[in-house]
Amino acid sequence: MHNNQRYAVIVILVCNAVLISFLESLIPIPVPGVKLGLANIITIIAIAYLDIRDVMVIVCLRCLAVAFLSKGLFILIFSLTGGILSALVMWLLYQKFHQFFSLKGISVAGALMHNTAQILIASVIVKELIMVYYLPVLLISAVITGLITGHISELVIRELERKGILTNES
Amino acid sequence: MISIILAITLFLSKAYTGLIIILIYTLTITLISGIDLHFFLRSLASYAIIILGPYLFGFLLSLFFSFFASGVPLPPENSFINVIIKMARIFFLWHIGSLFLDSTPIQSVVCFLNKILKPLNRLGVPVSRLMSVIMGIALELPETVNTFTKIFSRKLPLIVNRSNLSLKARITIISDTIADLIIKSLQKTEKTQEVIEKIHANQLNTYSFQIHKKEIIAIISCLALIIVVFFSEKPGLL
Repeated sequence: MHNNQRYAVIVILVCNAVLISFLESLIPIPVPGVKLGLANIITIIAIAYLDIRDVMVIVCLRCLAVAFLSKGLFILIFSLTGGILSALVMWLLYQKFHQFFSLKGISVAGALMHNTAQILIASVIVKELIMVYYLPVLLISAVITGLITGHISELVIRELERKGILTNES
Repeated sequence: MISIILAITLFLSKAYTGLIIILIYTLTITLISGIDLHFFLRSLASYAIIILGPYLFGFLLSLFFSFFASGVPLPPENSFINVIIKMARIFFLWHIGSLFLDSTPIQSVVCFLNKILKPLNRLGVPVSRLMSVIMGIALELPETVNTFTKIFSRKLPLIVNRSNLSLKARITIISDTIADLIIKSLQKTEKTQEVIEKIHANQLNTYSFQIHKKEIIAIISCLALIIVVFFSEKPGLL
């Protein structure tokens, strides 16, 4: 893929991720700290079609854009740490252990990593480990939300392949 | 800049008097800046969801384990009053962070970063390119929202008019909507490419450092705050 074209794809994917993040905030979840993580779909698409450097650029820019638009500097710390770590884990599983994990499994692993990072960062901010008591709640929710985002990612990637988008360019 | 100084002062201040002075100052600048109550409440809500809820859960659980299960009282640093002060301090740090992002336009931050990180270009880090990408996101986002609105208005009746739809069917409709959005956006790659090229050529070199009268007053008030907090924490120096 040509450099300029790559940057254009990055811009488009980040815009979609930002929009999906905001749509997700309209879906109320009654458990504190639990999010659907629909923007993870974009990270999975990026992992499937782009290299790790571009995936990281997409994750970082998405977190920055969401933080700027939602005016949450601390949210940036949470989403950046969780986003980078979960993207790394998902990339590793997709590239090295693709035969053992479906996209749903990879998405669940990413969600587990994201929520673990989130609770660890919260513990660092509060300077107390009692936040870790909340980890089981977040891990159970990560499995459910990971399955949902993984299912959607599979559908989206299937549709992208059917229409020949990104596959011809990568 | 004031937000950054304020956050550092709050972080370093240990005594209650210093903390109260900083909180009053933060609330005053929130009101003077014309920021409405909703902004403050939104900060509070996100703080409650991400930090306070999980913390209280852990705190109550540790209270249960230490007091009811083993009969050992909580250590003094975990007394209720200390917990409230700690949570208030973290919330105001959180709120100051939000004030920082609210008072700084993204274009200024991008152009400023481009200027100070320019030397990294020589080391092979494509700073200017990445800054153009960020500006591209700011310009392309309204276009993505338009595309989504068109797709969503077409798909919405599928969910609203059929109350007997299963969860799987609903998820499939949402996935279709997201897939449509991504596919339609990716079909406009060439147009986005042109936008990035234009930004790279024109907009990133327009930043110039300016300071206004109001900002000088704000900086002076912030310096005065630091002095007051410093002497309130170390009264012997007066």
